[in-house]
Amino acid sequence: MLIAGGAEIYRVEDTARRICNAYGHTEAQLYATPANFIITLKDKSGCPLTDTRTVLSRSDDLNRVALINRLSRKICAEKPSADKIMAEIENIKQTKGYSKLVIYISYFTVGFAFAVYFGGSAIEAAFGGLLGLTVCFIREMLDRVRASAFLKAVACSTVISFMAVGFYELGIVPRFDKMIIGATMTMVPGIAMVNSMRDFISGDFISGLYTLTEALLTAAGLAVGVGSAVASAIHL
Amino acid sequence: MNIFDTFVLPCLCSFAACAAFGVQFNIRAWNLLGAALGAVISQLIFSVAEHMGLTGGMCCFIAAAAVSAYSEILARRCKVPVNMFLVIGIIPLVPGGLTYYACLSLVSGEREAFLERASLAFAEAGSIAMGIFAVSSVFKVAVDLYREHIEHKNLKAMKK
Repeated sequence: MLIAGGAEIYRVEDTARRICNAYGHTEAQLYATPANFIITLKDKSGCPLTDTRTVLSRSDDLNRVALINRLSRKICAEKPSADKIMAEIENIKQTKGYSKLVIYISYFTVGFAFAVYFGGSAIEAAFGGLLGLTVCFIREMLDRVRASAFLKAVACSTVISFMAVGFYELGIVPRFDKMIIGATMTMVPGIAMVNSMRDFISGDFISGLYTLTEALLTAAGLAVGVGSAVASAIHL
Repeated sequence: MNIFDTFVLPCLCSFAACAAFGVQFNIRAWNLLGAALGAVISQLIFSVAEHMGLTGGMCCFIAAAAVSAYSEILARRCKVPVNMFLVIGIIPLVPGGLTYYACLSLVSGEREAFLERASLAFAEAGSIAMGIFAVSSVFKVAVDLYREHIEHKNLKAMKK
């Protein structure tokens, strides 16, 4: 569950180890990657018990990571019963994220602010924000069909580049590059980049490579989408 | 030199954009403010370093190092995961513009311009990574030592 929320692998392993220690299983062996999680404990007679989980989907929910982090501290300190822990976890799962409207506004703001940041004028920034919103819609649609991060990056960046060039051709905006940059910034794989660095630091090289590849692929997807769209739009 | 254009405007933009980014990652209330402030810090340091005439890679390295120190300290104080602040903090440093123009020169066949821009973008991205790497490794060692120290203390207390 920590993995699914976008935590580093070190945090996952450390948390699981602490919880096991808190309940007296000092010989817990665990192995986690961004895609699966294996834990082995020994019961009183020395017979090993193993549980393996595959992580199917991940999201970027750092608040959930923080809440579970807090819960695990509590577990280590108070050692509550299993029922209580399950209730707490259910509680965290139910914790609502920001409402749709706020998320739309945030996508708009990212596009807007980065268009200004890269030297765009007010009108360019406004359309940059609009493109940011488009990214949000496309992402939601693709999330529904469980598209890969790469496909999402390519699709979003292609569509926004075509839109940006379209606005430019219609004569609404003076340039299209600032808008495209602003809107593609909404898709920068920030969590993957930071997590892979932190995985490398803590010695989880496989997980680090896994997330690094993910980040690079997303970035490549953005480049492919923007490049191909702008190139074909210019030639049209 | 125009102070507003060189320093204030980029910081304001970073603040707004990164706060909005935090919303996408579902960061809450005070943590969101802390994360966005981290972005402002990295942006400010980047601008100052750039103004002093350092290369893009150096600017990114210094700013990333500073913001990871900030995130590590703040995260320990607030007892939340470090990456909550760090992910947001490095976003203003991401060489989005360079990468875009590199792409553009690639598709329009300007090979030399592409190589120059792409290598700069790679250098900046790499410098961000190294900045995080340098500071976070030191922090990790320090924290491990501190924990050992505490455990040692506890053991001594128990023996007594």
